[in-house]
Amino acid sequence: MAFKTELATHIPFLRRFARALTGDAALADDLVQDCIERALRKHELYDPERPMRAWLYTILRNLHISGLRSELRRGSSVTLDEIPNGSDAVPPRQEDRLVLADVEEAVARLPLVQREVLLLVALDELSYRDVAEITGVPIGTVMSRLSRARSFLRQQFDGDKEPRLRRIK
Amino acid sequence: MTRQRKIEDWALGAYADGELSGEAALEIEALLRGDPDAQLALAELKRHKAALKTAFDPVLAEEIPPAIKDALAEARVSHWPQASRRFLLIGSLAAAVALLVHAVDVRELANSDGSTIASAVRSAHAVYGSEIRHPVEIAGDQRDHLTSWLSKRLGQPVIAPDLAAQGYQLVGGRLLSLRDKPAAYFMYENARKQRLSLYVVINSEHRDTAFRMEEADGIMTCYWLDGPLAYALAGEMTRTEMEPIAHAVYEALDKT
Repeated sequence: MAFKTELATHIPFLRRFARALTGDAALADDLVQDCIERALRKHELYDPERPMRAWLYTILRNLHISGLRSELRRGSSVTLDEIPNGSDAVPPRQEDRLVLADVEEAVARLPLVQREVLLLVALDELSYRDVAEITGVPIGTVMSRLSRARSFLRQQFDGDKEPRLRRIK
Repeated sequence: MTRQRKIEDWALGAYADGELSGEAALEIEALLRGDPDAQLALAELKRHKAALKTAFDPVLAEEIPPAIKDALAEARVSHWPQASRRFLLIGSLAAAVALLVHAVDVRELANSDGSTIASAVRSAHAVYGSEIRHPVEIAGDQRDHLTSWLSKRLGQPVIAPDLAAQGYQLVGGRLLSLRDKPAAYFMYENARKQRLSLYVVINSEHRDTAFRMEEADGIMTCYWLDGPLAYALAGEMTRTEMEPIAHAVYEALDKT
């Protein structure tokens, strides 16, 4: 199968990942477009022994992070952990129903490094090993980020727990 | 509040994510049996996982924006290096065609329900038809549950026709969306593992049509509007192969 043809089959999944990662349809599609362009330019770097989707996700999340960094940069360099999430001082909602908007909101409040891990595992059912490769961290880190992301979701959706937004990390 | 359980959260997560195999999985299962708290936590974890899919999966069925199609269409790429061809053939997804290149006929026929549903079924077929582990949300052995759920969502009785005479068995189905409206998606498979997609949405045009067939990038689609519903089929097959299947579907639906 030609490279482009296979690339095309991954586009819906790239769009889903980008949408969930950014929470913004237009920004997400810009990212996907950049990702496609980059993948086509750099196609000789792709190792066909590896799943193409994982390679594309790596490109997309790196583009996203470098986009965030260049927005945030004020002369100094910004580390991944310093990229803020949207959670600043937003109290958790006291609802026990999982309304779609709530899910999206909760995901958006997660710190980026937890959000991406959660999405890759939950939406794409990728193995922890693949997620570790995509995000460039050890599997143990993937697992702890995932665990924190999930406990955050629990706090968001469990109406009966005391309302507190534990600052993770 | 702290949970007092024998199973750590991360281990429960790894179990739910299919990361544990053999003894590790058995161990968790054994612990789970004696730990109702952990059972609840596992159920909750699965619920959250499913909620994420429900929230973001509709993106999969959306039409690909033109800017992205153009980005793909404009670039020139050399072919795969020789050595990798064999690998690609093994992993080759029969349905992996298209998605993008059908832009032309979609534009030509824009704004008609028929062409929208044809492009929707083609996308769905390309996306889910190649899915190995999770092609459907509800498996075909729960046909009644599947159809009653989808009927409820569409607000119209929807059935999954029996296509055994055509050699196709129901793999299952899922709920998709088309233009902000719910759509029913059924997948069938024959003995040669060839898949067939059936897409059903509300017919908002209030008119009936004959079968209309189009082929794009190796995927044949056949669609028609019939009373309250619009139907579309997609599969990697020829017109001659598709036609009797379309008739069988039409007749099965007509009897309801």
